[in-house]
Amino acid sequence: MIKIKALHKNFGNLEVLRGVNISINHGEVVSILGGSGSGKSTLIRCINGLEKVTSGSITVDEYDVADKKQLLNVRKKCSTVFQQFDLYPHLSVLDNITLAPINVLGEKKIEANKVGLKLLESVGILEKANNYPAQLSGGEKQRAGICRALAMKPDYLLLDEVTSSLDPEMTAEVLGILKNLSGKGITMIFVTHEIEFAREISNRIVFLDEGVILKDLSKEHFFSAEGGCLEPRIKKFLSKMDKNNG
Amino acid sequence: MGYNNEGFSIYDLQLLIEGLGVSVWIFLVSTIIGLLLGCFIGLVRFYRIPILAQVLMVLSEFLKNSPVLVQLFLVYFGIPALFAIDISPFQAAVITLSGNTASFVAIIVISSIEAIDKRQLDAARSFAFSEVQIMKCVIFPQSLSLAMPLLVSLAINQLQVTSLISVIGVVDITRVGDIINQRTFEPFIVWPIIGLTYFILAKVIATVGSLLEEKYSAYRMVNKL
Ligand SMILES: Nc1ncnc2c1ncn2[C@@H]1O[C@H](COP(=O)(O)OP(=O)(O)OP(=O)(O)O)[C@@H](O)[C@H]1O
Ligand SMILES: [Mg+2]
Repeated sequence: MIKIKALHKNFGNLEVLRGVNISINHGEVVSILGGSGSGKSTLIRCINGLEKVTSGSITVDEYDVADKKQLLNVRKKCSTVFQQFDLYPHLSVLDNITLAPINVLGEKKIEANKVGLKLLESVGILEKANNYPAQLSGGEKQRAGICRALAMKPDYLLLDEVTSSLDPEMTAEVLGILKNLSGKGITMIFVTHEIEFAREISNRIVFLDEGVILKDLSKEHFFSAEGGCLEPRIKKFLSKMDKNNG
Repeated sequence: MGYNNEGFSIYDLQLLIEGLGVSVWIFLVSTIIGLLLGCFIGLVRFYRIPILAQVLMVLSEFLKNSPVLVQLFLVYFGIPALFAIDISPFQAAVITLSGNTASFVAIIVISSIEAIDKRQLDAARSFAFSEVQIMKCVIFPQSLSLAMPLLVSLAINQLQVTSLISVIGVVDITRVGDIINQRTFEPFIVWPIIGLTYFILAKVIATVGSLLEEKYSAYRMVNKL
């Protein structure tokens, strides 16, 4: 379970997160929606300790993100998939996937390779195992990024706009893979602008606005007439997104 | 070589080979020390280790921005005067060239580390790598590939710089050229041969360098396929 209590995050004088409280249970698939600059990425980066919180607390299962030693345990439990993929360009796709399992988890290379190849096969890019990232299309890179995250056998998957750098066709490929994952008990927290997709796979929607949570509702409730849409800001956001996607 | 000229003898060839040995040896020793020292300075400055980073920065800026000949005189004449110890021309040459090489290597190290995309480092951190592992697995292999061409051209430049040490009496190739020239008065035979010798050495370094470059840059070449 991820517990975030009274989380504040400032960048200098800029208050980006202003008292965020959420608990996310095992197996939940949570979409974080919100306008640009509302603090979604910052929230994700606070969970895996890439940003230091200004005040408040975050715990992942029994581990405290603020504690330097426990942070490593948090990071072993939470894998991240990045918007810009951020693969290691000097390593083959397979080595990208096995680097952390071998060096961080201490897995044997043969075992790690076996798992890596299986993952690549499951996302349909087995034949790219020995290519460098620069030789892949954006969609293939992101599939490799997902494999890299899954190779750590994480309990939690953090995904920050993982399809924003992709064209519609590649977006569909990647979303298809994520949809398959969502049924498998892995807890997923993803920031997305794909409202339809959020509606399809998540069971909970968190709407962030100017650093505070405006609504935190089950999916059904959020999209119903008496749910999120009662909030003018959310209504505006949803209709804008619909226009963008249509 | 001109055996029809009475001025030259077979011993000149021997002298030349000995001079070559001295030049190559000083070059290798000072390059290896310079590389190690330069990496150390570069890392200290990259991780901004307090005090040490500032001291090393001032020192390496001085070494980078003053003539090597001045540094050589400072070491050769300054150290004995200051510490009342004897220092051989060879030692002075190695100290000077190592320090000078290190100051340039440090810059190359810092810039090639800083050239790595910070987002990749965040990615590695998010997978629970330690900072040391990130340096070893993610930064170093890529930085090496960026640094290699710069290091190779630095090495070729430092090879030419070794000729300066002849002024304090180290019998390197240049000094050998000087000795033979003074005896034979054949500057247009002697100096082209000396020049050619440096040229060949530089080519050897360039060839070894491009092999290393290829080895460490494989991943950057794929874009050009
Ligand atoms: N490292 C930083 N230093 C200073 N300001 C930052 C930093 N990172 C983010 N910010 C600011 O914090 C605010 C929230 O940024 P964040 O990236 O979390 O927004 P977001 O909700 O992810 O937006 P988007 O949908 O555009 O990705 C923005 O105003 C941004 O400019
Ligand atoms: Mg963002």
